[in-house]
Amino acid sequence: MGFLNNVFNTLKGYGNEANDAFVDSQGIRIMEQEIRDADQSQRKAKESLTDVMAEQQRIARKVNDLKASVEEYSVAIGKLLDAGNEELAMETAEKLAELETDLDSNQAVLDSYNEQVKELKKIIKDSAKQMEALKREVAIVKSTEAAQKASEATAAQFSGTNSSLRSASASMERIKAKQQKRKDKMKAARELAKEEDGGDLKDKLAEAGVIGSQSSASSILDRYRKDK
Amino acid sequence: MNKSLEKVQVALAAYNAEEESLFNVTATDIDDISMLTIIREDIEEFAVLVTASDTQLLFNVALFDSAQVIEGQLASLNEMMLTLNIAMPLSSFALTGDIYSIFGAMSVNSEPSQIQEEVLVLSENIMDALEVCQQFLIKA
Repeated sequence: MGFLNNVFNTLKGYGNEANDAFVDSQGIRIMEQEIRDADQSQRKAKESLTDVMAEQQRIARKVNDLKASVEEYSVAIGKLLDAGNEELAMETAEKLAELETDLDSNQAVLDSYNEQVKELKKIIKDSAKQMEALKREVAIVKSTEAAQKASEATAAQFSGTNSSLRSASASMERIKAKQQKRKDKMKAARELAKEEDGGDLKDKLAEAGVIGSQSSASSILDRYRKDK
Repeated sequence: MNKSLEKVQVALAAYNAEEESLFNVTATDIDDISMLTIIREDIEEFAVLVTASDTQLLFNVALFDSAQVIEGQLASLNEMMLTLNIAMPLSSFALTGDIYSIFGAMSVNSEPSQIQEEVLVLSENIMDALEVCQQFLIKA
């Protein structure tokens, strides 16, 4: 099962009315037990691997020795037959048959050891992976729990209770009103500053045509023309 | 306090120095979990709660609980949130227990400027998120 699926199952404990805790603590305990189990199966597999590998090496040496002997006796039989020594060739062939049987059975054992080593290495790798995944799950569940506590803390901070948050729409209206008030205040402050500059009166006089709105090149030229 | 949370505190103090103390940051411990409460001065009713794990910083703002949702509207609200998740800059909607929130998550290796941006954008998303959810909420 994927880790999100596991996490969700742990979190789901919350939905249960009888269980108020957000994170099912039993779920975490189960995961922690699974981590310990995976750890133990890994340790066992490592111990077995050491034993099996020792045995594997012993058998491998034996198989090599047998192979060398089989080779040696095979060559000897050829030479004896060439020399016409049928009797000794027969005796050697009997010994070779014995050796070949021995080699076959030992080779079979070696093959099975090779298989076991492969299998154990896979178990070790898999349980390491599984442990890592479980540890990640526990960490995720715990940090989700932290976020949940954080949410509850915010709720408690403003409503004085853990059971429910203050009304979001009321808060929103209050904030909007406050933000509007601040804007109004800033606008009023700007207007006041303008008035203190006399800007407001000047604007009004210019509007009434009592004072020139602005000195311009043409008004200056007009002034010169009048003087002439 | 947690080293990652300290980093957030330092980043926001630097931001405040430039931006006339926009954020009020306090450290609290609840049970054995340490967290930061960030209150933006113009949205003080919705605090940003920061928690840190080994790998992640989590910034969470509780918006409302399911009791405030108009009866029969939960499914529509949930669907809208899922639809809007991609559109909302840097933040996502979430449901923890019965509390709806918006949150942002980032690596504990984030730069101070990224942390500042995260908090600023998240705090700016608060009013927008509430506004869009308001149609599903019981009027005060």
